[in-house]
Amino acid sequence: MSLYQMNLLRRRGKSNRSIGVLSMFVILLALIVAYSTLVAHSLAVATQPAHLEWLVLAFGLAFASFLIFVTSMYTFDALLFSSTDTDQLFAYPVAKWVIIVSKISGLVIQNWIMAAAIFLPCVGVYAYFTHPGPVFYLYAVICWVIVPGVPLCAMGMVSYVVGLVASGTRFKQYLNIVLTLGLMAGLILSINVGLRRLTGSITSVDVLMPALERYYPPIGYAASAMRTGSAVDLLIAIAWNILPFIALAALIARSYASIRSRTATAHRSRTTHVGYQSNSVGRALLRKEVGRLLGSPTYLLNTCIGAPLLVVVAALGGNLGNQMHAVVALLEHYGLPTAAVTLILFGLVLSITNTAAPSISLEGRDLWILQSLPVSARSVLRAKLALHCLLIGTFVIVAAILSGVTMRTGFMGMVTTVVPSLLLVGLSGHLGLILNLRHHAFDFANDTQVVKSSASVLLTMLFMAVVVVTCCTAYWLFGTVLGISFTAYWWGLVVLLAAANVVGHHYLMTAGVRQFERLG
Amino acid sequence: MTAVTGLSGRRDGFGVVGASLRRRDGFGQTRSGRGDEGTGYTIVMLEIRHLTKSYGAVKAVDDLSLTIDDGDIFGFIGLNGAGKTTTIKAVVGIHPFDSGEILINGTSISADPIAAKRQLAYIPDNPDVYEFMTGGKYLNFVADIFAVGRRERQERIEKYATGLELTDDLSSPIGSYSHGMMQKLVVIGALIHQPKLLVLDEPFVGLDPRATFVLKGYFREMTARGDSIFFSTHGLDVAQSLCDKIAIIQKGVLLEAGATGQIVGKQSLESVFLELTAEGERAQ
Repeated sequence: MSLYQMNLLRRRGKSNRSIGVLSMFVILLALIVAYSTLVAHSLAVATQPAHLEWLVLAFGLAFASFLIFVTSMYTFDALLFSSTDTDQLFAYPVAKWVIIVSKISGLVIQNWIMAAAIFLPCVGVYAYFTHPGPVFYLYAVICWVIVPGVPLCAMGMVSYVVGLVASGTRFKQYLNIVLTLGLMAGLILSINVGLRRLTGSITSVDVLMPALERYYPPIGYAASAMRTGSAVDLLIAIAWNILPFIALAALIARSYASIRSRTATAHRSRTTHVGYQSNSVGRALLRKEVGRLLGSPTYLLNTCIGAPLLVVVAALGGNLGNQMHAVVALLEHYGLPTAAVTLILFGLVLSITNTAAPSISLEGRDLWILQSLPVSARSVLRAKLALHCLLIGTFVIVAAILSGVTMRTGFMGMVTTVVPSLLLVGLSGHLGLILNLRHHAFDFANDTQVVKSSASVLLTMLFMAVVVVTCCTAYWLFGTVLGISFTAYWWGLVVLLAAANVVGHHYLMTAGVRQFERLG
Repeated sequence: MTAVTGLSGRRDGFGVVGASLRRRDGFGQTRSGRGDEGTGYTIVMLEIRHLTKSYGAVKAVDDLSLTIDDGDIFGFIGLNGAGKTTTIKAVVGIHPFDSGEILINGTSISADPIAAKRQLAYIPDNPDVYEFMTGGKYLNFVADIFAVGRRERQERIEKYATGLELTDDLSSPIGSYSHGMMQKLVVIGALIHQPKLLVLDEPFVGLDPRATFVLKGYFREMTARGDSIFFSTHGLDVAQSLCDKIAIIQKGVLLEAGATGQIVGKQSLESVFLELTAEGERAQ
């Protein structure tokens, strides 16, 4: 238990900041609860005439499993194989399996919170519509407890295989990315095949539950147990959700030390050549930022994946077949030009793409270098901002040009997309740095803690998503209610975003600089 | 034997505009190769005036004043938690302080930190360095910041890396380095721009005996040029044999500062240190 508490203690910050971060998490959870309740309610209303309300429970379990699966990417690896506290823990007179179990328990407990935010509203909606007996609530709690088992087991398996294959190799970081993405793609493909078979086997509503039990037993039996109150179904659900997880934990515990020791070993270079190229201060700082990004697959993957994805989607935009053209035609029919659709897509992807938001925290224990060298805080912040804007901005320009060709929006369509998108890139960079200056964490055990789940990253994503949604809502309001044209709206948007960038830059270079000078 | 307040002035002939000068007193020993030979004046390389720094209610450093002249090797001694690292971090511009003034070769670290930092180099007690870089890239990065020319940086990197036996490892990622290797890398990075003032926090921790010997040699080389060294240490033998001057600090208060010979007298530094800290304990 004390080992698990160590995992929690590491995440604690200063009390006033913790309150701010806690408030943000509460807001985020409230939004997830509201969304889940809304979807569950709509589903219950739609399924009530056919007496299929239990689908709400299946939806809740499936949605929770999916989100746990997606958000656990690299978390398992970071917690088990890349944590800096592992060597210290192994030096204690504690059995290895206790350390493994404590670390995995921490992961399970974290995911209970997410599972509760998604699944418990579904339980509430189901209960509201069907008025079940007290046994249902007991079963629902048990299902909530066991639901993280399968997705965590899947991600744990990915981490274990990747660790086994990639650790100790020269390019382990990049092999790690390729293998992880490959295994994830394989898993998603398997789920897709399973879903197709499931839908293909459903001939009537009566075979829906047996089909779910056959093609995805962990959720099928859990939903069946809650619906019918069957203890046997509940035991089968527990077995399906928990046994693979226990088996994986045992497997990891057995070969953990060997994988961990190989993971910790970094290879020496075979050459002894050292270049002596000189650079200006600004260029040297930018090169340092680029080096950090390329040196950490977790940082690279979590903060930049959206940008190349945007290019791929833009390149494939014209080849997505009739469905894509039908969607575009439908949207145009409702007064949404293709350029506006592209802009919304760009905005949403850019809201989750941010190299700046974790960049100050990532200085970590190396912060003394920048603080003791004769470089101004302005230069340091500019280098971090430049990396974000140059990297993401380049992808945005390429994606806009490609979308102009594939979506046939023409030159003006490209300009329409690229100008606000670049302004959004600038805004997210400024915002990421400002929030990271306020919510920094230098005592992280691995990069994943900072780039995936730190307050500055989540807050920036949330704020940028709010900006994009507000822009869309404003467009709808101005277009339908006030009858303002898209061109007029676009100019207004560009001016507002430019002004926000100017204000953000001014704040960063004044108050932000002062905050940076006080860091540490 | 407390801190010496010096005369302030300018001596443009040395090219050190704004530096404080003071007449030699009992601490200063004339060394060959120093710019002040025969003038009777010495350049004050580091001047700490009434430095106070608190962490909440705890005063880490209380009204501390120190002066380090050009060519001095100055040892900063104290028990754990005495305020050595806090003082050092304030000197190199990492920690802001509550009151007082710190001048590096006449330049205030708080008023003009960039100009002050250009004249110094810092080696921390725990040398965490960018693990994503290779050793060579890190040294080039530091050289870029100090605008060291290509030829000079190559010469110096080759010289110091050879001396500290790190040449073969400079192309390897820092993530593969041991603690001692990182310490050596930070030492090379600190010497690459030939600082006027070298500030070190426990410099010999983690270094092997040969590297320690080489580093002491670099110290002497620097002081022969007229540069100064200010370092904290728990190694009293090292301090006694290496330092011209020492200061003893306890609970943020300076107990004693002056020439090593004068403080130690005929005793060992260990016995003087234990005596002074015990007295300080009683007084506080």
